[in-house]
Amino acid sequence: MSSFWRNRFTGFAAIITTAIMLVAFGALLAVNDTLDNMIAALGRRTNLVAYLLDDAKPSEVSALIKDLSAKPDVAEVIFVSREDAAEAFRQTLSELAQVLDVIETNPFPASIEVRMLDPSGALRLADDLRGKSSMVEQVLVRADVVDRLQRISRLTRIGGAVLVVGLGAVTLFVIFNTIRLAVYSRREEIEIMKLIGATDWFVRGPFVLEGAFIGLVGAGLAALTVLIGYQRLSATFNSLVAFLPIETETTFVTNLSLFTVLVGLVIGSVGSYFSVRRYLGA
Amino acid sequence: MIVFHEVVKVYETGACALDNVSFNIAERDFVFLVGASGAGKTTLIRLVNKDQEPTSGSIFVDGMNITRLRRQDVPGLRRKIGVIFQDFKLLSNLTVAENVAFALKVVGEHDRRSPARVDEALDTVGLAGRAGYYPGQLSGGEAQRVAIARCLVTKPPVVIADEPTGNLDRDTAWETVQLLVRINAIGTTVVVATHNRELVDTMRRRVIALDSGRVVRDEVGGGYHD
Repeated sequence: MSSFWRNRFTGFAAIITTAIMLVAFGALLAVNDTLDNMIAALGRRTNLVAYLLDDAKPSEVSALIKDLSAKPDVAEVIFVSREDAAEAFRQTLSELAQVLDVIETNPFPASIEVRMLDPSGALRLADDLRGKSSMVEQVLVRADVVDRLQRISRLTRIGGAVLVVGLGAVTLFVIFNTIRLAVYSRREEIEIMKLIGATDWFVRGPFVLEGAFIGLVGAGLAALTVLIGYQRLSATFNSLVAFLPIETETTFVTNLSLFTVLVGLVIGSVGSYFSVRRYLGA
Repeated sequence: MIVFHEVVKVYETGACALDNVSFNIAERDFVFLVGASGAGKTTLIRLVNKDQEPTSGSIFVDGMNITRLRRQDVPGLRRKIGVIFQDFKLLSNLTVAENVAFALKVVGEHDRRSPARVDEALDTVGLAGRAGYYPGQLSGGEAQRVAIARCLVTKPPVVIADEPTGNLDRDTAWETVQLLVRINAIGTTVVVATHNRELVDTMRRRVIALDSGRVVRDEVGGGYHD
């Protein structure tokens, strides 16, 4: 600790750099987890929604539902009336429910929700439904949405990984140099230690511990930031996509925090170990 | 105790620091290592302490061929060899007692007997009353005696002093060497590298003289220039 205090300015810089890197790391993992959860949630929901024209004939709608139910690759067909749609809106976005009281007419169309046994057939079925222009206003295929989310998820992973690796390299470099300064400031003591017969680890140990301390404190700050940020942001996010029941595991953030601390500890220890080896030969 | 067998040391620059040096220093010997600056005295000491490697030849310390020593065994070798330097090499932020105790911590022998061992070492060098002083508060001779105490506290079988009187006045230099003689008398092998002609000529101990990296004289009861 006395060695850290002697070079505290560079030490604090190393802590802040570590914290920033690990916040980015934690945020990346949280975003990817959320995207994965969204994709999974969408996968469990209906694959296709056909929004009906307001003047669609009930008999034609019933016949369509019967046809769809008979298809071998369709698992489930659900008719959602305009009233049901309005009620669902009130339930899922309760803070906006009062908007409906202001509007005199029900803005929600009726729809037919289809869940496929094999989602790959959704696009073909969607084309069929779009052909029934006398009844169907619009067909939304969730597979498109899932595809888009998966593409976003892939990009986020790749881009995030590049960012984290870059920041990680910077963090290692800062810790490396912080320990190098610590070694330099204690060079006299180290010289005497080695002459008296200190083992490599006796010389190296305190510096590796110093690096581990930097990594641990930086990781602690990062874990706290991620924990608070995740709780605040996920509440906001869930309210924005309330129509999508995303299941977030309560243990995820705890595990993420612990993992962040572990990563910080490892980076701090590894950075300082190699710095000591390089500049001490120990 | 220390055996050099046809040792050659050539630096990367091509300078030959030691040229086919051979000698045998037995246990309990007291040896002056003399020669002009650049004769090879410091190189010889650094080879014994495995601070450097010889270009060729063999070096034995306490029966162990140190030229074949593995890296992890070097600390063990250095614990057998106490080295005293011209510039004392004390830690200015530690007291006299803490400087001496530092050696015990480094070799892993710091326990509840340490204070007694430190007191004994300081008593041997006549500095029992200076335990709480800092190096900056000591005279040159006292600082050198602290360095000797730090060297002695771990009880090494060999003590090598590299120009221990170089920064001291005549009387203090004499006292320092007498201290080394007392250490030798209780069984420690002592090697003193020195320019101090008067000391060597007065004490008439074994003298190994180096000139341009070669042993030119190895004489019991010799002087600086015979």
